Amino acid sequence: MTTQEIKQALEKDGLGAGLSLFEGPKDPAIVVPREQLVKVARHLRDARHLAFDLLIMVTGTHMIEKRDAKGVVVREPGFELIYHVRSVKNRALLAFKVKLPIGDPTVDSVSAIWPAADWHERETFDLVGITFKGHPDLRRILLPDDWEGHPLRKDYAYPKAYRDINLEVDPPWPTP
Amino acid sequence: MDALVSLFRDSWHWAAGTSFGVALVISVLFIVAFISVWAMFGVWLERKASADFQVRLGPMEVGPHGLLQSLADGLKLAFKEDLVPKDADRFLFVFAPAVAFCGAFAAFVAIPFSPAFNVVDVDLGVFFVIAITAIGVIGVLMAGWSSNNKWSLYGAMREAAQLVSYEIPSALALMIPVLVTGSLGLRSIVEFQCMPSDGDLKAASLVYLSPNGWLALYSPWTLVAFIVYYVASLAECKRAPFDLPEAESELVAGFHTEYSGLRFSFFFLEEYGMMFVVSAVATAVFLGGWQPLPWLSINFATLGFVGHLLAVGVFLAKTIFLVWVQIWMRWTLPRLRVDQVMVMGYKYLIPITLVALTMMACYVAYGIRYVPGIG
Amino acid sequence: MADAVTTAPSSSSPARTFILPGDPLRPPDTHVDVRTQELQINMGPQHPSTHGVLRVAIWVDGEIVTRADPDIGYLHRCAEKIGESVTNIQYVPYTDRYDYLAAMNNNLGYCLAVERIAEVEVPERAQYIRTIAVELNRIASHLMAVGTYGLDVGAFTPFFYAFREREEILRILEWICGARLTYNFIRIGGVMRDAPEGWIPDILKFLDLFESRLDEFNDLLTHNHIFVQRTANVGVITLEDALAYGITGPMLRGSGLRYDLRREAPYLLYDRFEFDVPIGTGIKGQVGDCWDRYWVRILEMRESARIVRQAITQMPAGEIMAKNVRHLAFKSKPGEGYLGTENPRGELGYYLISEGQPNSYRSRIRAPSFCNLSILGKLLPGTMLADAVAIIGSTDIVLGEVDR
Repeated sequence: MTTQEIKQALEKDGLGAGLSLFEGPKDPAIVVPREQLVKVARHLRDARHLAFDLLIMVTGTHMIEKRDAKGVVVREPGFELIYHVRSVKNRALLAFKVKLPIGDPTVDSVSAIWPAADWHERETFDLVGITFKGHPDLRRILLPDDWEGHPLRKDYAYPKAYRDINLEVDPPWPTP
Repeated sequence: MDALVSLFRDSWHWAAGTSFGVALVISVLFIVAFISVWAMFGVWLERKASADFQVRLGPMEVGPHGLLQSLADGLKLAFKEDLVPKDADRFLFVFAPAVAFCGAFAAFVAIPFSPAFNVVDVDLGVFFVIAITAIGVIGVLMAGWSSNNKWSLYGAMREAAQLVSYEIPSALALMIPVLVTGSLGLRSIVEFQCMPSDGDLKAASLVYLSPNGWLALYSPWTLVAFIVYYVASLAECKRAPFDLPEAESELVAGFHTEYSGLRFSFFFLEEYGMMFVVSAVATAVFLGGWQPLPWLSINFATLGFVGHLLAVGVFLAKTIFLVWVQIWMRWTLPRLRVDQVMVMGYKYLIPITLVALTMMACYVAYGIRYVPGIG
Repeated sequence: MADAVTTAPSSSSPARTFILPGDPLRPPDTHVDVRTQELQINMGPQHPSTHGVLRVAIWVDGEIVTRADPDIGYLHRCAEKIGESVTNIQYVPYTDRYDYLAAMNNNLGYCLAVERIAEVEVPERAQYIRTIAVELNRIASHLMAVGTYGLDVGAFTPFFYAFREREEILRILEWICGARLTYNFIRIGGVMRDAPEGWIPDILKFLDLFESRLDEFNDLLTHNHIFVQRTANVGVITLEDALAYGITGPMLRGSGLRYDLRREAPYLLYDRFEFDVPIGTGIKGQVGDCWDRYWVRILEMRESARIVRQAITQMPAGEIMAKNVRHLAFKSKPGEGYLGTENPRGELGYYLISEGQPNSYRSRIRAPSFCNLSILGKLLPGTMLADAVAIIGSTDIVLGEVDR
């Protein structure tokens, strides 16, 4: 089942509102609007002909503004969440994206649909700073609980100190 | 010790009390020296045997084939920093290894190494050994509690449950030979096994056949008793497969996690001491003590001092073999979970022992012998 | 009974329900004047059985675990951030360090992902050498897993037997690439070095010995009655739970699903080889218990040996590195893509967003141990503490990839 076919199946099942296809130079992905995420995700898991029961990964990326050679804005700043799910029965891998505006990185949690998303969403919250509404226990997972900032953002400023540890040390190799 | 008492009284004409006191001190010092040397040898044996099972060499550097390795380790432990954790109960923490060690150490007084070499020929030998080794339980509990460490507490609690539970099949299994021989004293049990057919032990020739033979082979029920006693004693010594109290991979080191240096070496001495005590009791009661082969006895008393040394040699050989089997089992078998340990003790070992005890009582009452009399 | 914990039935005890202290429905302890309380203990981060710096905060009532909360992040080394600042070619040694026990597989996953986006054609001989290296590494990783699992349940000797074989494999891999643990051997476009003279016969000699050694190991540990009692019916993961929690690899196959990425979505050359995919069938207990997962790993080692033999016979002569790889140090092709490979622990995936620069815009690693570990919070409550150790051992986690 290709991504095209899955998108057509979703449209046939009445969930096509707002869906679009991201062709991409390599892997295609279905772009799902933020409000439709939980409905689409639930349908992907429960529908017999789709049966995407294995959530592989939830990835969050901070997308910075991209301008082309003429200075025209090609990509708005924002966040992008991409979900990869596999269907065991249909031997398929599907990627679907949710684009979030830069000022409001919140989205509904899918951990009620795929419990695997629990930890992936915690990691995305920890490192990228996307908040998941409805998550049972959204706290930092990899970094200490009192860490400030979200490191995987492109504008992350490295901290100068953490508690009483000084982080501004010279590396042992020569620097310019 | 009786021989020493008579020696001092007759040769140096000391008063009975002085002779007794000096003989006691010498015997006890001898036992202390023996237990120290035994612990070093036991550790070396364990390391070499485990290396053999694990396709490696073991200690080879210090001394020939690593024989002095234990001495080096003991010295190292003596030089280590003496830590007492800040919030630990200081008195219990310091006292616990001593209590545990005394439990194992005190049992040595009843072991019959040879017809004349024992510290005290305790009439209640079997009962005494079982009771005294139970003191070790208190030491372990004190150690686990006073360490102020939840993992140590876990080790101590599991150990209390396990040791107390396995005292029952261990003691019941020892009742079966007592039933056969009619005596609780360890030396008399060995003498029963060495008894010649005319019943006169002192007048026997140098090499003679004894109809009773090793109690382990005397009757199927005593064989069952031997196996049950050996398994229960593994639990008493906290050896695998019953080594929950010191389950290394689960509880770091169990009840002795917080101990280091000389205090830790006391627990080690206690472990190897218990291994020896338990194997020595099994040898004396089931494997004939100083009887070289099942129905073939040697009257060591006629050979004088050398004869007694030979008897001690035979006894030690059998004991060390049993200790080696304990080591073998430890390095082969995984560990049982605590509820499985309890199940094994209460649901399997105790019923088996009770059945064996009942059947043995019937055999003795009706005079049934498994092996017909010899000679 | 809102907070009651029901234990799973095991081989030695039926299911029991515990009403925890603090629950208003718990009858008052009127016949004893001892107040019991729930104890919170930390397993880790320094612990002999947690296979790395993992902290599991466990709440116990006596010996029964009532709540478990894994706390990870002790080995977090900012892998994904580094992936954005170094070039793709420079990043390959970093990938070794995630699942350091199966470093070849990590290298392979990343190189395949980059090659897919940058459209690099890898020569066939290099692919065969990659297969051999990866499958040998899989055997080594499983040997480590089963050896240390024996250690967790108290069997000290099988560990040495497993490591004897692992030592052989590490010597073979050191011969070809110079390293024993973090190989950096599979590079973008091919492999680092061709097979030296005598390497292949040495592997065949090892494989001939390996089968009989595996039988010996089985006799010692796998069918040992005490080991079976400790692991059968313990930590049962049903298939629905496994799929819901995103579990892949031997853990999923231990629950009865024949799902292996080398079959479902073949990468490298796996569609040319004949091998079985073992699953757990509940021989000793229930399907999906710790013994099944352990048994799947043992069987997979045999299958890997088969694959290596077939790869050796089919391997052609030729180049070992693609021609046009140098330019990747300066530019790449834009695109984003995900590639999943079958790591010894599960599905290892790399999701790369490339914007034509030599370094990725985003490199995200889907670590199988990270996903496998998330079920612990659901699996541990109701088990005994000793079972907790057995369960954590059967998940076969490597903290390097859990924390990245």
